[in-house]
Amino acid sequence: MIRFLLRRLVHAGILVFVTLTATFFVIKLAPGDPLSRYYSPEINPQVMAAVRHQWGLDRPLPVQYARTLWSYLRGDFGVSISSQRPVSDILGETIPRTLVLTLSALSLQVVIGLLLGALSAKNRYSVLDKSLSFVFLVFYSLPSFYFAFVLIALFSLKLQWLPSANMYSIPPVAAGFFAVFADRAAHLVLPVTVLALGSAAALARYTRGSLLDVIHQDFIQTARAKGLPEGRVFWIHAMRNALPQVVTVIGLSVPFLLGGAVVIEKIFAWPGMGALVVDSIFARDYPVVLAANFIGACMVIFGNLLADLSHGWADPRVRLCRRS
Amino acid sequence: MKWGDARLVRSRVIDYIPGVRRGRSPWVAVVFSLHFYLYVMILVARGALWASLFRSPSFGDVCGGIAAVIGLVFFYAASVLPGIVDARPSGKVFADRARRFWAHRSAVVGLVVFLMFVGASFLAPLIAPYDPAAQTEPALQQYQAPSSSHPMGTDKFGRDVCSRVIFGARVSLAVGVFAVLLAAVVGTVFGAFSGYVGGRADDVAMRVVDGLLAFPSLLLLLTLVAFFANSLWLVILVLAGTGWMGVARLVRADVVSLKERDFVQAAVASGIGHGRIVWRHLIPNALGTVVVAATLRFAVIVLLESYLSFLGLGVQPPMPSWGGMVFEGRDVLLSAWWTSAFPGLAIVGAVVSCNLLGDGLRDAMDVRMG
Repeated sequence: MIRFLLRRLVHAGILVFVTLTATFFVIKLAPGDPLSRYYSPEINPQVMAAVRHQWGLDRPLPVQYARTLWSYLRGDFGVSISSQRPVSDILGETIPRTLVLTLSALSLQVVIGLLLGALSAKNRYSVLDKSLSFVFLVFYSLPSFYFAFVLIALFSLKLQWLPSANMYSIPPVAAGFFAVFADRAAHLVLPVTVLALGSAAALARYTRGSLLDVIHQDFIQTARAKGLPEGRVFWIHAMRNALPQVVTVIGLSVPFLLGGAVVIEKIFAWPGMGALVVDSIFARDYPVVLAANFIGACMVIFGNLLADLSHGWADPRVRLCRRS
Repeated sequence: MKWGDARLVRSRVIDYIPGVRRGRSPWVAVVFSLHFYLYVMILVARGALWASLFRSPSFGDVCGGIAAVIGLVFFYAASVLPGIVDARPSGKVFADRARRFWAHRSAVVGLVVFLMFVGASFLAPLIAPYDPAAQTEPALQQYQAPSSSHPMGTDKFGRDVCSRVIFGARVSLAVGVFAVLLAAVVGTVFGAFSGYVGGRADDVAMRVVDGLLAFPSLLLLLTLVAFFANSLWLVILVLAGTGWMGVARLVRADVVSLKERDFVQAAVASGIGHGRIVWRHLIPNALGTVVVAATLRFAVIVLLESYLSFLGLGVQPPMPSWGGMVFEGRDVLLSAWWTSAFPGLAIVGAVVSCNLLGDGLRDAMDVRMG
């Protein structure tokens, strides 16, 4: 087990390094310059050169790369060019905001996806199953920005039930824990719904598929033959065997939650990682883009690792396999 | 040249069209004509295509460029058909598959709707009621509700939404076709060789694929497209670059099990070169998987392209794109709902139909995914 974990960690380390390198060179080789927004005819070229020097932009590429690597090794992500603040401060602010969003969405997605998928598989080939499958397909195919617009139009513009932008009301609501909590929750509802339903549909499709694969196998027949109630056969025997693959898919959907969050955060003006990335890409803010891609890759790899580990938890065969 | 030589040449050429075997004359004819059509189309439209993608395209350029896309769609069809036919077993297998496909009602619906989108994109200049770029006097025509003269209303500049949705199909489908073709080719070759070679190289190759799959593709896509000038080709390349790994994995799994089969062993024993075994024996037998994976991938790519256009990184105005149109309608969600609702529905329709088609093909050809 320890050896397996170590090997995975080494793989993850290599992957993170490759990601960092690739992102670095993509950013550096691309046309555009973080300082270009400050160029103007009146500006003194010497001042500009001094600023470039201050940011280290005038050094040869390999030197810049080595310096970046070294500072990353020491856990220093550099300073944002457009806001002049340490990148780690900015990330420390935005990552929790994104996590609130994506983790709520992930938990909602898992609950809805597993339950509806199982429900669909339990009533397989019935009218319920067919209509559920179609609903899954539509939500799975729905671009999240369009879904978001529909919800905004309906719930915040027409009915005016829910806010459509930001994390909290402006001006802030009166003090008091419950008032603040309710305000936060209200702002979460729409983005989380959009994020969760799309991925829940994908998960439900997958759950249904793997349950249907399992349900035709011999051991299910055996369980039925020895007189177990159908509910137990389905929820314990079949589910237990379908779960490992489903867990893997949940792990693989972590990048989608991050990627999907880019668009959702833009639409709902949620000041998280996604919005930060888009803004800094347009501002050519190299350190922020690099750090965000780095963190993104780390989170994705962490998700995969988690999926692998829980795979072992859900499926004893994998544990045995690893030990040998 | 004697008559016999011509026959020999014909059989040689057929040898190199994957999935088609000698003696299946009707399909050979179909596939031949489709390939021929592709080449003619490319010759006809090369200049126009070039102009439409690299210069700022005039409308005629775009229309000409579409001819090449038509050719490519036919190429896709030509690759799909033998995949469905999968000439190796008897015609009975094909008949079985076709029967299963046609019995799958939702798959047929998906096929029909998808073909409607394809048809709309080909015939856009004929069926669109207006010029999608024509701006009328804004004060008079701006934000007109759907009516008999404008079935989907007009947008901020008084342009006909219906015409723009129809022309937008071209962008989405063209990007999808190019990117999927590229992804399918790269993925198939990579997966087939990785599975065939096996051992250490296979391990490393699959780790690479895993690593690339782990990448947050939308983040990568945004970074690449935003940092380099966003040409249509870059969008296609990046979408293909994030899409080929799934195909590679599936093809590899197929090849690993295929290479133990007797006919491959026989081919090895008879001293055929490795490349030829992969090309003639392994890939044709994995084509069903490729077709299914490519069709499902197509849906994802159309979706991703709409995300890019929505963020303003895809096709640039005035060329109409569905994602961009939804974005333009964001300020008037209630007062002029038609400006964003119809392009949004078009995206959903195209993606759903493509997914239905892919699911149907998967069930009909009994391909295991994932």
